[in-house]
Amino acid sequence: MRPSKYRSARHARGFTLAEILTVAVLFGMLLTTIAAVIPAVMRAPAQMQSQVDEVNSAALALYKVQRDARQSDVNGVFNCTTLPIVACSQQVGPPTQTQAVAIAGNDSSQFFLTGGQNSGQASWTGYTVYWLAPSSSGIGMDLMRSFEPVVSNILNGVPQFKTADATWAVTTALLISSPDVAAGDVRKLLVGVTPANGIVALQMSAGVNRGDQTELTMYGNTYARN
Amino acid sequence: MLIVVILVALLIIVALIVAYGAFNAQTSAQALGVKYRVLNSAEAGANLALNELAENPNYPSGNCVNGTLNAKPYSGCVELNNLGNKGTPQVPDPETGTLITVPANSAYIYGESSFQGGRKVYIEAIADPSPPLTLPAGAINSQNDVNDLAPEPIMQDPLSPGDANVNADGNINVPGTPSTVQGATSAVGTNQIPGGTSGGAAIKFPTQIEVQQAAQNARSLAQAGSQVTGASLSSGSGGAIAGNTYVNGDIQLTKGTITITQGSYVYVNGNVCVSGSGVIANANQGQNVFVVSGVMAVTGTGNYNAAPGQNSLLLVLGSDPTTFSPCGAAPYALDLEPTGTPSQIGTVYSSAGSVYLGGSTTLTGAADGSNVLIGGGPSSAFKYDSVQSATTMTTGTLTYSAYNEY
Repeated sequence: MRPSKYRSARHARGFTLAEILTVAVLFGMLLTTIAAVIPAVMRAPAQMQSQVDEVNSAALALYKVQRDARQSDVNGVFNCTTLPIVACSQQVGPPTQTQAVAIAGNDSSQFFLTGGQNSGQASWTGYTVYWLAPSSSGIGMDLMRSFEPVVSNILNGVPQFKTADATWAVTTALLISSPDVAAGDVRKLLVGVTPANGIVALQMSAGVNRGDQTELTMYGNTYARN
Repeated sequence: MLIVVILVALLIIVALIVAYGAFNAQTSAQALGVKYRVLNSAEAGANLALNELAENPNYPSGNCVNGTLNAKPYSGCVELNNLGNKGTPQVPDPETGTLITVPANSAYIYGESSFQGGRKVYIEAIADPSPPLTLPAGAINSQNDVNDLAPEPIMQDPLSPGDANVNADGNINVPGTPSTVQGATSAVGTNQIPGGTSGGAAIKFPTQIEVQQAAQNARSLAQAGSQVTGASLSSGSGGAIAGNTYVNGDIQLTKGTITITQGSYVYVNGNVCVSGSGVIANANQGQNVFVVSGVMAVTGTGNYNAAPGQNSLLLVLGSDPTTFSPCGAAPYALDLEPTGTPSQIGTVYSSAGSVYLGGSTTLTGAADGSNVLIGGGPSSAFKYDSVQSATTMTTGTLTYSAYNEY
């Protein structure tokens, strides 16, 4: 095949200075753009993973709170303040924001009383306490968890849940120097109960508290079964 | 050419990083989803075992039923059926081997599930027969307020004088002249009937769960009987309901008589409106329940009658209509305003709404509700029937008295 006139002519004369400069400028702009975009793109997955991990961690914590509430009695769930003083009360009605929640229950796998007239009933051995505390990283709040033994007596088949016991459990939990962190970056915890139908309403807001302020609110209403 | 290759390689690397991050995020979200699905599947197993036991109280110990929920297989087992027995046998916990004492007249059941042979999740429970639906004694009982709007005689049962008590867990309000009550009046809050008790003790009503269980039980037993439509009973020529019966749809009765016999459970899936010359004659004997899932009104010369000397419960589940009643009556869940012949109404209970007692005739029975309004005035009367008020409907269902999961 014969080479075209155009290709022959171009090869013969080479590139002009203007052509080379234009290409160089365009290529420079392209590289600059890529250099600016790539770090952000490369950071994005890690950032997304971080957000997902933190929200997922909060979702797991909500799962734990739900589970403790499900195995509790609706009258054994208390909203508590941690500051300026510890004070617990039952929040009857829609969930309201709380600094801590105390849930009556049992931290072992053996949950049934095995003797006496109360055999077969739930064995109330203490309160699981969840509370919000400043994160060790200094950014945002973490949700802490601890089980504090306080025996609730059963009188005529009815467990006796007392606000004083719940308050004591929360007070004791707050004294733990390195409590278990149930979830990081939890912004809000809301709890409420409806004794008439045994529902414990739970709500938790969580998310990354750095810069982008991503927040996700999760709902976890459950029946207290005991 | 080399530059193009480098650029393409860079783009592929970035795409891989993004895809990897998305995959990781999806994986961690899926792990939580699996937890919920396995737990729900195990709970389905326990609930299925509970249903088996409710349907057959003689269900043999050690038997399991299997199924699948959320693509997760489960087993529901009645490990020890101790229903109807007085002893307290023990049975090993399937997971820990610890001996569990099963109380008299209870059963130990559990459900289990796992994901792809992984850790098993157990839901275990002690199940007891649900308590009966026991209503408080007294002529009129309100979970909230009694509003005494017109001076109507509240009359005692001739069998036990002075027993037509009126109780409110809220207030007893009297905007005008108070009714004459042949019994004690008591309110947890303020009682405006002269001589009555303010700050009295609260009376105990069934919980919503107990009401739902009783209603569900009545519905199941009614459905197991015969089924008719509300429209077929609303033609004006009356009709007969024989045996346990499920009525689907509203009953709009302006004339004719519907006679109820030979059963214990009638469930109306709709509203019941009786007016004109329409009559519902409930001739069921012994403990029997007539459940209305919506609202009910008896107005004009219409009538609702229960057989005298029985334990008839009229249970209305609907709440007060917000704007107008489907029956075209006053906006109360149970509006009793007949003007015709006196009638026995048995125990009437509006679990989520108000009972309005009005009209211009004598109603005999007991009235319980979320609120009770007395509005008949001197031309009417409400007469207490202590036998009817002793209604304690067995629910026939089982409930968890202790629950554990791991």
